[in-house]
Amino acid sequence: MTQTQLRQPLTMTATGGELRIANVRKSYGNSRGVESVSIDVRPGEFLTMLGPSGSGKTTTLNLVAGFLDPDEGSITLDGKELSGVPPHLRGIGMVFQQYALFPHMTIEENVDYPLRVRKIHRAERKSLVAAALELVQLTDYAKRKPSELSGGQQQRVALARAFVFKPRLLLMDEPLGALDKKLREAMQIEITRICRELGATVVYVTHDQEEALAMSDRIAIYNAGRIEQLGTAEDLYKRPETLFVADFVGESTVIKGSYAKGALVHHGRSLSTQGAHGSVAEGSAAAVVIRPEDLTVVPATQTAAIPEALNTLEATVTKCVYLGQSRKCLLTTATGLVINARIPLHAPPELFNPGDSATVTWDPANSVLVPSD
Amino acid sequence: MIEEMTPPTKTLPAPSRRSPSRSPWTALIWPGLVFMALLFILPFIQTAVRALTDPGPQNFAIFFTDPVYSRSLITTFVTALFVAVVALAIAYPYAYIMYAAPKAMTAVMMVLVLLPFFTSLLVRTYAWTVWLQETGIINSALLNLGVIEEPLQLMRNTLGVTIGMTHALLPFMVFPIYSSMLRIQPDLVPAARTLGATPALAFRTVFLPLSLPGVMSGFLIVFVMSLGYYVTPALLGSPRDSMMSELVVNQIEQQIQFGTGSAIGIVLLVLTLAILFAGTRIISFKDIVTGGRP
Repeated sequence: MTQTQLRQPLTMTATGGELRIANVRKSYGNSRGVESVSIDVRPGEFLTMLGPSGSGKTTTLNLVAGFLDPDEGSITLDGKELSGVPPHLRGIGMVFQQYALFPHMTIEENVDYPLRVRKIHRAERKSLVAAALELVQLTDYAKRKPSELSGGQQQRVALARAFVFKPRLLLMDEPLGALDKKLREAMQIEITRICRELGATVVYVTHDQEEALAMSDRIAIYNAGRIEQLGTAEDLYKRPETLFVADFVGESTVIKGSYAKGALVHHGRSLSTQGAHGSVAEGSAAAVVIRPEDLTVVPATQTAAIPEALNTLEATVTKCVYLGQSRKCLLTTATGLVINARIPLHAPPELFNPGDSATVTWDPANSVLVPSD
Repeated sequence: MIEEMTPPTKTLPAPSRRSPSRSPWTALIWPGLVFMALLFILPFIQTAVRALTDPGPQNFAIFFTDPVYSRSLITTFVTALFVAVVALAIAYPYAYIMYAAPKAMTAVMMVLVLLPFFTSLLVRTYAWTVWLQETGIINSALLNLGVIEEPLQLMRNTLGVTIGMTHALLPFMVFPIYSSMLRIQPDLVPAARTLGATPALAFRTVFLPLSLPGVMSGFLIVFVMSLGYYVTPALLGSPRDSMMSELVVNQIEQQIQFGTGSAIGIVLLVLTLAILFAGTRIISFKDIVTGGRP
């Protein structure tokens, strides 16, 4: 008995498929759609589509699931074109935000549904359902109705139901949106674990940045129906390609100006971009993005010690918040620029009181140069 | 704008800590209770007493001695069942289209189904005679087109009664079904589709079972209401196949037999309650009234 129980999860394993979305466009009347979206999802990859609501990520998901057909472009799974194939023939598992469990069926019957529909032999169905429930740790709840389960448990059932028929691809549309913060964090770990065990290819939609960073192999940042950037969490954080990505992922200070001769001119002040990541055309509008941890704040009286190669800006402290490991401080320059910095707890006290004068300094090699509008 | 949307919550009394029975609002139940007691329960007791004493319990014997009454009993139940089945066959697709259609069309369909409520039952029933009688619109049209050679018997029979009563009771079938469809979570059918179900299978295994509480309650309401219908069977039905309500009127107005009339009424009531009770074995009484989960 224990032997089979231990072995059962292995029977669930299926290699994930390869999804290719190429130049897909979908428009509805005048609102929400996608324009020229292209993503290649590798077998076994956990890819997250992240973006503000209405940016096209759910539209992309619905195009893949088959609830919408693209106006242009192609979507293929393992090389087979999906456009025109109805949802029930695509063999793609999907987890919905509101769980979408069938309330008139037990947990077991819910998980069995995709197998029953496929007319799989009863004995095989039984063992697959048992293995799936085992994997989501809900074996004891098999005979209950969905309404008797908590939100987190219901979402695990939805997950089991979505992978029990070994789909080549799993889609998840904000599956944790309806849960509270604490449960959400536990479920992030749980979902990541299950997907790794299954070796499934997953396309995950969320508007929660932390969730995306915590779970994904790669993240596609959506904005206004387009993908701004597709990369690992580190790519997006350290090497954002657009102002939107720099702003949307993590905290940052954005200094806008025009680019000339290896420097950004901001209100008549030349800030070096020597060694900065990214490039923009000479004379074009550009912005320098600096992460809070790459900024150093020193009292206005100690500027003599700053090396020549570093950029400096004079600013006034407007607000400081104690975060435990450091203080998060907002400073404002004479030109109205807001600087987002971290100040160590051991810094001199005259640095974090509103009204204190300070000099902000950074190594241009730690900044990112992006085009601006 | 925001002002317009908030007042309902403002005017509601704050949730009371006191038990509902001690709330001052409970007093509002009294006019209703008095009304029911004076105008329904009291007359009902009178009727029951009369059925047993005027001249005696032998009033009920009529069902065993005179075949007209036992036959009418069957006619009444068969007609009511027929009306409920036909109304269901029309109402389910109608409610489904209302559910699936764009908002504007839903509104139009809602008004169309409510329209019979806004006209008097008597007027509506006479209107049906204009359509259905031998020299009526349908028959003359078919005769003129040469489709038929002799007028069809469209009324003064069960067909006429079914048409009239179905029309009158359709809203009671449409609304419980529609409201129970509205309560189905909208992503259940898409979920079934991703899990491998064809549109037809997703409907049969997910949508239909979840709309059944509305079907049950609509069916029960229409069936029970049909049992006591008078005007429509009297105008559109056959004098030979009288329904129970017609027999009651006949006993009281023509025969001046209040005792027998009361006995027929009591039998009809008891059978109706028995059916309602049997119905509650399958679906809770609350669900009959509300058409499913709250």
